[in-house]
Amino acid sequence: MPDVNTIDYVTISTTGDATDFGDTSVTRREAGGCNSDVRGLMAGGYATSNVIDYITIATTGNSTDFGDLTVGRTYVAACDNTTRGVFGGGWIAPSANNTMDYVTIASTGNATDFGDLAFAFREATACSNNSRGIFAGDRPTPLDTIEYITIDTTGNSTDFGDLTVARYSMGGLSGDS
Amino acid sequence: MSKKISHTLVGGRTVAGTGGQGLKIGGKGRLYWKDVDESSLEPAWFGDRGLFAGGESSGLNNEIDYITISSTGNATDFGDLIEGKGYLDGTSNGTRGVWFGGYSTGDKDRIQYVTVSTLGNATDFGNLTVARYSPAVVGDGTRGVAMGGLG
Repeated sequence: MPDVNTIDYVTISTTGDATDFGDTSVTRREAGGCNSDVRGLMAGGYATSNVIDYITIATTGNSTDFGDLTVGRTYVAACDNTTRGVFGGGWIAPSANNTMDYVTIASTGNATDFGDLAFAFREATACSNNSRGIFAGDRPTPLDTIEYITIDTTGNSTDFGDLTVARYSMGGLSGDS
Repeated sequence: MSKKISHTLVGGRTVAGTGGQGLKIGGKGRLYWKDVDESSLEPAWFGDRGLFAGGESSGLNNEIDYITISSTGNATDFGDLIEGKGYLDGTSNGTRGVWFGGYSTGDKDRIQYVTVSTLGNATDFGNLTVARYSPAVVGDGTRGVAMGGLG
């Protein structure tokens, strides 16, 4: 099975099949996605990529180079407050990584160090509200750990609580309760 | 621009010389106009409920958990994905949360969704143009976009 450069989209409020959007600048998987209400960013991925590229979500077209992560890694987990995107953890064979770095989504440029996750996450999942970013789950031994950061500051992550079931490589999102 | 007035404000109007006013629910259910500015508006998909779906443990998992992001504590059961899946990713418009693709023994092109405010199981949304897992998913509150992945 090959990595693909496909970008496709749906209108969330409807149902139906996805439609072609364009292609990623670099073909890869296991990148982290974050966004403002204008731009979507895709960062890192297999194999130990440091590439950050972006799209304008309301249009269609190919992604464009944004800049580089501070360190290339696979399985990046990403969260945002629509202004700042934070990329956490990942895999740099043969080790998991505790790096967090961030970008200002509306600009372009390389990522800057944010702080450290409490421990090295290999395949965490992220979500956020407009203040907190959450990183949860990991492997190789499935973990139930949930950690959080305050996105508009910098610093290390703090314990949040536990998942109902220890696991890794989930799909994270946030919405209204 | 997909913005909404925060949840205590239930309507809005523009007022010359200000950032506008929102209709706020006050004590005893009375409504009144409150000045708001851009900093009090938040993107529609920025709710306070975080959902984690699927993943792998001893096998593929269909569990959906939720947390209240602003409050620390353990996750609570929300419902189930249509099938056990790992390596999926999602976005929302605030109301509806949508997950794209994922590794499974079944359909890797499945898109599925839940209503974030309501506990329950996921429902089929449609199919990706290319079946895959480990995409990076982004959204602007109107569109959800899946980028790359393993086909």
